[in-house]
Amino acid sequence: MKLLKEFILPRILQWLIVIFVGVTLTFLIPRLSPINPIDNAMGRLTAFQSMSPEATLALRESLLDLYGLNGSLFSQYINFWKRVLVFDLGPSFTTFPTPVMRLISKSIGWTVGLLSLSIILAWVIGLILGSLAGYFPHAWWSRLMENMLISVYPIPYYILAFVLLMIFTYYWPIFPLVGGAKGTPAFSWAYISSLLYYGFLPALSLIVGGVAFRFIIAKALTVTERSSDYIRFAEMAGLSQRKVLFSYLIPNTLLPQVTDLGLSLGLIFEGALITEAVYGYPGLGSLLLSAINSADFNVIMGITLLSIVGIATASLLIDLSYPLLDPRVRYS
Amino acid sequence: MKTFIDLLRFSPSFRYGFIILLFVLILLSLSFFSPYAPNKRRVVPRNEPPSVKYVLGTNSQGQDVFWMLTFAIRNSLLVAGLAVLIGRGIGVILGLISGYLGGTVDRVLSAIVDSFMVIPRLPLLILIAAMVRGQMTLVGLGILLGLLDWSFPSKRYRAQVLSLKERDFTQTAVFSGMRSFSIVIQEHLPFILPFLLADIVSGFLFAIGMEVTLAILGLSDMNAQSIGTMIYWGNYYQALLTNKVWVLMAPIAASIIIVVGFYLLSIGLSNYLDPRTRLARLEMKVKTS
Amino acid sequence: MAASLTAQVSTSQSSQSIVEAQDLKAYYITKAYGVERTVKAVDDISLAIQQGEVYGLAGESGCGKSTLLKVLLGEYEKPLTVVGGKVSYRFEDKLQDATSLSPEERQSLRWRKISYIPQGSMHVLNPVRRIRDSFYDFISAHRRMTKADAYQLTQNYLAELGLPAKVMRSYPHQLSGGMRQRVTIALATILWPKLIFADEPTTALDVVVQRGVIQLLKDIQQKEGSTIVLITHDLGCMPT
Repeated sequence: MKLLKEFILPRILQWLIVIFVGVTLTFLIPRLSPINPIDNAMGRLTAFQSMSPEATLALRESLLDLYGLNGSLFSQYINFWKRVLVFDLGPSFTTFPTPVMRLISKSIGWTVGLLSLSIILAWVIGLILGSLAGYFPHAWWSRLMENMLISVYPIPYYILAFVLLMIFTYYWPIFPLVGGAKGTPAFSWAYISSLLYYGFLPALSLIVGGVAFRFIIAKALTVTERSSDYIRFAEMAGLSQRKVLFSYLIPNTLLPQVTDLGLSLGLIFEGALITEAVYGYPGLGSLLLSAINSADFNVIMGITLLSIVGIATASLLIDLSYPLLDPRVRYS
Repeated sequence: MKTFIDLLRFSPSFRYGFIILLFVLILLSLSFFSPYAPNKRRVVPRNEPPSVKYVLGTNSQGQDVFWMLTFAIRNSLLVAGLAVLIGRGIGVILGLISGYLGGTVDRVLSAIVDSFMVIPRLPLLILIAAMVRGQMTLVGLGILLGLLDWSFPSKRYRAQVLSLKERDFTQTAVFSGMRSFSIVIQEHLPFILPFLLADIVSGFLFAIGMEVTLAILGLSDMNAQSIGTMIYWGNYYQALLTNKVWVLMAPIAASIIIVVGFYLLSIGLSNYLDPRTRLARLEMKVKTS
Repeated sequence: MAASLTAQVSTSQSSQSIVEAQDLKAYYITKAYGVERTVKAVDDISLAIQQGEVYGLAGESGCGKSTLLKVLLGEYEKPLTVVGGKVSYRFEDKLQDATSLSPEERQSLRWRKISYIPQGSMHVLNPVRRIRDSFYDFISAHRRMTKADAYQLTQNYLAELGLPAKVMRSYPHQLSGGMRQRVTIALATILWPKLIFADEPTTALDVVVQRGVIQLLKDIQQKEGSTIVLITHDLGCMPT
């Protein structure tokens, strides 16, 4: 009961606040903008094809309606919420009248797949390597690894992805450039292997940065934790180093890492958007890039909203899993 | 100043970071002596590979990549500097208010800060930048980045203040009747300043990365030279396909050098902030003096 | 510094010694930025601890008793260095030079022959592991045993020491300070070691609990006939 009151409920409350702030910001930004998004969109739309004046007028009306720009600011806001709650994000401008939701649902699977695989791999690899390096801080491989990862860590996602792309698709073309897989989706070896083949470089770009980030934190935590009383007692009692590392050190340094994963989810997601755009991977990143290029505001807004809700929910779920790992929170 | 010399002497990462950034600074100041205006095209032969005459080659618009790069570094650091100034400004103020006042103010501010931390910033940034597309200026971009990068710093300053408030010397100062304001200025500021320095560096890392990202998406001020826009135009004119890789290599290498330089600096600083190494240094000073 | 150390022999059942130290010198030698500094923590100590006795080492904090314990136990690393003298153990009537033991030999003595009880503190036990699993870890590091057998052994031993069976399934934070220290003592003595080093086992406990912990140590010593080397800065805790 105490767990519910002191841990779960505040966390859910925070989740609600995040969603509220996110939706409100997405609502306000286009309205505070010095540029009328409708004129902008109309300009873009009519630049490529000539339209009759009636059609232009009708388009303007429907755009106003679609944007929810009719009525007072407050009633617009209420209408915005109503639409958000039923996942109605309006139609796309460039592929009118395909709903934004359908475009997003087509590409979100790619992003979620790429993202979850690389987050899990990067987190586990970074944690284990970082803990090993922190437990054996003077070994040559520990120092080598640290120096390598420290030089990779500050490099922006885009640069990392782009350098890998240059190397492995131009100078030593062993990986494909655009796309997510070959053939029709099926549970066959041919399809799954092409999935891995196409996803390899984008995933690698995300994993390298993620491992470096996690490694640095894990190593710092391990260096602090290994001088704690219970580790020294276990070592004195002659427990094997493997046992001390995997049953004593890592389960304890894991806990702050879980909280941190929840907090850094947004950053990793941003990295995934960029990486997808670089490789032409058919996820939200590419959708966003093409929406930017064609000024498809509804799609941009939809992706913004969805990513805020998605990231907030994912980090809520990660935080709620915390009591499973820490008995001190579970039985307090 | 003394701290600075200490850092140069005892922290190799700070030393290397400092040398790298000094080099970047020299490149940056060279932009003031550039023989060509930043946007002027066809001033040199097109598509020349790097040579003695054109150190980093020339691009397909007939611009000298080296001189372009000096402008790009200047502008990118300007954007980042502005972002850092605004972001840390908000972050420091909120963090200090939250930490010193405590109570309800702290709870409300913390809830806001925590919520902002979870919100992914890039999509918001893209939404805003897409709305003002074509009218985005470098100054505007700097302000925008600053307005989005204050939640992490604010949380860290709050934690720092809370731990300072618990320290013995604060209690001593309170009991000896020192005014709260002078406690903050005389006792706490010396601890917060070096912390601020390390934080500023991480702010630079974020802003430089974001500038590059937005420029790649075509959402920055595309007429100005920056590291991001150099890469964008390089890609736009298909530098890779036409085998003019030097056009892309210059900004990519510059961005890596700058961020690694800043990062080394921050490692040196945070080692310096670590109380354990601080103690070792103090002991050493006693011995050498 | 060693001069302030007082040694007190309480019960003497046999005349044969189990651990001996001769002219032991252990210094902390630190080298920072080219300046060498030496702290003589243990300087010229000789002692012989008899089998089956409770050997008390008392002295103020910082007088070198913990350092002596570390050296006797053979559990020390740089900057602590043994500069002179030697430590020997006698198990099965064989006197061995402890300073020349290989890490493997040292490892094989640990917990089965020589054990260690740390200062009572919040964090001696792994906070995210159930007590019975900590016992399993410690037992299986020295004996080949299935998990079920280790649990059974633990349960029997805890019952023998009069500790409630429900601690088996508990996590450390769910136990009181005194109970945690009793569990730690049980964990240190589960393999019936002949020689037990206890480093201020009653620090940070209140007086009533202290008595209970000392009583527990005495019980173990009497039941198993083991030798206990007890370090304390509080003469009140010295067994009489």
